[in-house]
Amino acid sequence: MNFSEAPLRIDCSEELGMLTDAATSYLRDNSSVERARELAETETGFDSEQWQALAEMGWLGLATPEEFGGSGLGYPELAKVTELMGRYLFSSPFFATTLASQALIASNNEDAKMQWLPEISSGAAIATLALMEPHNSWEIGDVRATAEATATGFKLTGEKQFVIDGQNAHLVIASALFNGNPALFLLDADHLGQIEQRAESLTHHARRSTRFTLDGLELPKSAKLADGADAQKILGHVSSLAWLLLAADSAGTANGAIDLTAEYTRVRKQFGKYIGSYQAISHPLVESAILVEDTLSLVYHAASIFDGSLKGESEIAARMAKTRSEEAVNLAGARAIQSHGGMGFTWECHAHLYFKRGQWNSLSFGDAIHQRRHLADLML
Amino acid sequence: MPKAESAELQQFRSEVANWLQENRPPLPDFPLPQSFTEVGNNDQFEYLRDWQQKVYEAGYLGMAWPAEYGGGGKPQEYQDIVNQEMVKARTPLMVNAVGLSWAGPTILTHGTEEQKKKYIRPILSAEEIWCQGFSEPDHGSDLGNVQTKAVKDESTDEYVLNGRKIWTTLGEQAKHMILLARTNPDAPNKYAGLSFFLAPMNVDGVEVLPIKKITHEYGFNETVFTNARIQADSLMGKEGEGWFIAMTVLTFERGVTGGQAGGNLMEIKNVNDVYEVAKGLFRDGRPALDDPSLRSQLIDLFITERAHRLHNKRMDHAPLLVPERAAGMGLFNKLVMSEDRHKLAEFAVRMQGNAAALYADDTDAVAGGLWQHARLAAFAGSIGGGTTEVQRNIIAERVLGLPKSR
Repeated sequence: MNFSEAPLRIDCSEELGMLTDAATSYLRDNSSVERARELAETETGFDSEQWQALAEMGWLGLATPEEFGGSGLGYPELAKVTELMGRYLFSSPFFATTLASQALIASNNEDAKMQWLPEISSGAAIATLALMEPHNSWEIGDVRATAEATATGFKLTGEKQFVIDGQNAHLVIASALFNGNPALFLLDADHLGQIEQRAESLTHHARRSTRFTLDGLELPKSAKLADGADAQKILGHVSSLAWLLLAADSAGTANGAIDLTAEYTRVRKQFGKYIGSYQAISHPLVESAILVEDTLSLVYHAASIFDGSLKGESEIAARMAKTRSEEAVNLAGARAIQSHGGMGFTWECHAHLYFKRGQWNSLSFGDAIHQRRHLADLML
Repeated sequence: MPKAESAELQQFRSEVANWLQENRPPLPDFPLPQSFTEVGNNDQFEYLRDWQQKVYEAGYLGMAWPAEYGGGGKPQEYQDIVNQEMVKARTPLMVNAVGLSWAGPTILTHGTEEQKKKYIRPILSAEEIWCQGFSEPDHGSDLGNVQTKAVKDESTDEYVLNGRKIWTTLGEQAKHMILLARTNPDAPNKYAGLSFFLAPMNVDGVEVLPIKKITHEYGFNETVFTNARIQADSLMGKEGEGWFIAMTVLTFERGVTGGQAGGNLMEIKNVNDVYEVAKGLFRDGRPALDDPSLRSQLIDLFITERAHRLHNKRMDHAPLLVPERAAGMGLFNKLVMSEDRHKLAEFAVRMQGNAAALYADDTDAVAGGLWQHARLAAFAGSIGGGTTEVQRNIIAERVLGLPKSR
């Protein structure tokens, strides 16, 4: 295939225009950097009143079909809200919960959808995925945990790592090998009460994630969300959506870092001149802005054509967005710290918040090195 | 949702595609330049001039310019379709680029009725080639500091020109120059002393000296004015308005605004062309595309190209732009395009291994040495029309709101 001539498309619905305005004002007014700092010091890392506000605005079921209590919008809308959350350093289990809802939506398990999706959309249930394991692999199918059939259901063995918002979740969707292939299991509050989750210490201190063992956990038959080809499809769907949304968040985060840096270099003087007038300061900032624009174009194209499938344009577009977003947010975040000079190295300066959020986004679901390798295999 | 193309436009698109296929000139036995700035000899020039004339006569150039001056008087969409189809069909470029993209739109914006009637049609037909006289040997990026003098001789109603202009692309072929010169050395500031001329090249006292480029070729020149006399009505606008008009030209040149006659000004080689070459290459006895580092770099080039192709589509949707920087999107164009040429050519050369050392005229050179040439020619893009560094300053100031760097 000639990739330079691949048909390119960016869609923008009327709803997306209205959502952009609403989300910008909500996040600007309710997610100051100071608020993000306060929340970072709390145990849960988020504000439950704000979570209810998100539910009322329809964001917790933004791309969930209306029959399950959702807003029935699409991927560009999800990307836009995520981008703005990055821009205003908004802390919440939105990303984890959105991915878990999408795992349900992509499944053929109508009972599970009926049970969980309305709960999630209403804000009553926080949900997440447990896909990563301590053997340090971003390959989503590289699962070592196992599920054995028992008389009443399944017995699980294995370890899970980087369970985003694990300590906040009412529902965890965990992967485990069943009959030699990855399958997905629903762990509700009762099951989660039987395992001990250890909060992980992250460089991005505003994020929450847990590590836990599944050893000995018994699940009823109804806890299986999907196995075989169904589970493969769900894993492809959620991982490619994760690339897309993390890229959107990073584009927003990078924009926030650029604004912070630009503002500082307009008021800070050294050697008798505003430091923003020095090209050593201004040119890398321009470079960051260019990378952000690249990322946004790739994100909204990927969102416009997203169908959750692997091996085709949808996967390529999402991986491309993820790759470029890492370059954008890494440069913008690093320049924010560096351009603040000595202050930039202090906890008090806001710059590191953007840098760390960007780093977390980059490292989740596969960094740029990982993405380029996959893209090369898909395209060359 | 993007607007679907109407049946009429679709019909027009297929007409254009067919016309281009049926009428494209056969490939010559000499290499063609990839940009109008690379026209290095008369064979190339004549071949390209004939092609532009043919395109104009078919009605496919200046389609959105007013009909009374020789344009097509149609909506811009028609010309956009022609441009896209030309790029797709990879037909030769439009050689009168300065006329089509800068001088023409500027005359249509600021010119008198008489100037429009006189100049526009021959620009489109390539009968009269235009060049640009902005940069000077001592004032490259600092355009406001232009020193070439134009002194009014009231007795003969002429201006007398003295000074030097440099980087005059197509200077040898040009009949006219858009010229920025100083009419008032005592003006309150350097900008206020400048005036803008539509100057004839074929008068006594105008000397065009070819300059040899790093590519081994000629194609641009130094233009020396020694008491050259031009008619007073060559002045565009009034004395002192030169800087204002020149800024209009730069917006056309940097692709920020519409209004150009259209046509393709470069033959764009893209990342897929590089990929095609790469497939046949061996390095150290192994296929070049087995090398993980090269694979990774090539993927980055694919990503960059796609992102930049997508920008135009995203610009249609205000909610998808960064609100504070929405108006700046256009300014990124020139900068990223010239940087992309560098990155692409650099990779295309380096992937060749030892063979990369061969230049364009060596029979063993990979792909005829096209990329070795492109690697050097890329500097024309990152230096000409305002260097990359000046572009970054402009973006820093106008888009990011940073303090001025000078």
